[in-house]
Amino acid sequence: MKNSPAGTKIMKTISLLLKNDTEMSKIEKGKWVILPALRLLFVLFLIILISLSKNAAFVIVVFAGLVVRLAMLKPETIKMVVMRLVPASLLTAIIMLPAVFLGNPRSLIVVTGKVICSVLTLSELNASVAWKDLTHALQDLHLPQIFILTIDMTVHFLVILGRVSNAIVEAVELRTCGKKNPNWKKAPTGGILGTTYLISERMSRESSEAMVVRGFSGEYKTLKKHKFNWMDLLYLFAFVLVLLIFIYLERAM
Amino acid sequence: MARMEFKNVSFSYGEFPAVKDFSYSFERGKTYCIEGPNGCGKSSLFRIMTGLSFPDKGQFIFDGEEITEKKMKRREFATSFHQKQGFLFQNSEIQLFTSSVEDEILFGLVNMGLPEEECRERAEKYIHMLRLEHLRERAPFNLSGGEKKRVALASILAMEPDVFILDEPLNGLDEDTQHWITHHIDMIKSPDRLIILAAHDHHFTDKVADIKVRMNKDHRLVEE
Repeated sequence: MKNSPAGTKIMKTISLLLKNDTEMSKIEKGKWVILPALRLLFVLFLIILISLSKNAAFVIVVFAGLVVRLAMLKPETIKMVVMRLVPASLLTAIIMLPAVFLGNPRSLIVVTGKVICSVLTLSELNASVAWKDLTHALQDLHLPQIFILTIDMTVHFLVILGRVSNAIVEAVELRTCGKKNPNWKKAPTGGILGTTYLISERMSRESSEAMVVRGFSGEYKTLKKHKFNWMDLLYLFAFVLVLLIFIYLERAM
Repeated sequence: MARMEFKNVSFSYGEFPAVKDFSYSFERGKTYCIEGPNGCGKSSLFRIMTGLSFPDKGQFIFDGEEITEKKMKRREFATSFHQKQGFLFQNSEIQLFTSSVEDEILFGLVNMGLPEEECRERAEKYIHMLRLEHLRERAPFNLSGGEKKRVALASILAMEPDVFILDEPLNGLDEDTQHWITHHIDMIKSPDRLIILAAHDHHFTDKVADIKVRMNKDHRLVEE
């Protein structure tokens, strides 16, 4: 590893991140199933309200709610969410640090708080809704089917190509045998990218052929899985409740 | 009448020949095994059988009708042609592209335009038959090689085609999965079905094939 070029190390990290990010078996399933489209809309709605809020009160209330929700998840899920939250919060705090020296420390707290709440909201959604349910949510929101298929396949290929590039990086590392050769610094990164590109081209052609032989003619059709139920109705009330809290706190402060 | 017929078919990739003057008839109810060294043109032959490539010379006839590029450009014709066939690719990873195993099996069924209830019934049947219950919600790209092959097989079995084309179905599989695939190929045999497969393993081909078709390094049919 010590002698591998920086580019290959970065590629390896990216592909490992992708691999972990799409591991479906880690998804935590709740006792009740709520329409994924509603959950997605709620997250977007919440993030918009967080961005619009002009004072810290609403952000603190949302943060409290999210922490309560987080506490209900499994320890490994909490760990995963926190691991995503910490770097984003730290980075925002560092970026906002000059505001403190310019006499506006409140900005540091409000902006960092907004980022924490937004990342927490998204991470919790990610931890509790499987990727396929999210794509079904897009379908429920009447996004074009071909767009959903493209997203699905992009994730699929990112993972596969991540594996491919990992395998090539490992092969390069093994062949460098621990020796420092200045030529290796430039050549492998270009070589790995080029090979990965060629493999990706072949894979995309073969995948499209695999779809064609199973009757695909340009229109992506799926079966809807979730029907609106009383739990979804209750969830709709959460929208109203959050909106009322937002209006109340914005007026009160 | 032959289910599939090749009449003096030649096919090449630019200046590289893949199939030369291939003539053969495949009858329904039989299992054929196409044998030959790597690069002899087996996969190219399968591409012609599935309408993904077209002969440079000669004719490929399916159910008495010549399959041409022009005909395959007609959506209805292409869809109806592909519904009669189930093609298992050599690389199962590429064959699987949806976000869950269940969706993968449903993909072909939904494209066939079957009613929702029937799609679900068939998917359940083949998920159960291929013992995929515990993998139903998993993303296909996170499965092992053997599991991917099972999902790919389930996805074509569910379409219940009467022609199966299996390109090296045992490729990269462990012994248990190889036995399992062999068993399932035996299971899908029926008097109405035509099965064509490519393989290198003689034990396997001896077990499953009724007729062996051999191609040589010169991309020609040599013996039956």
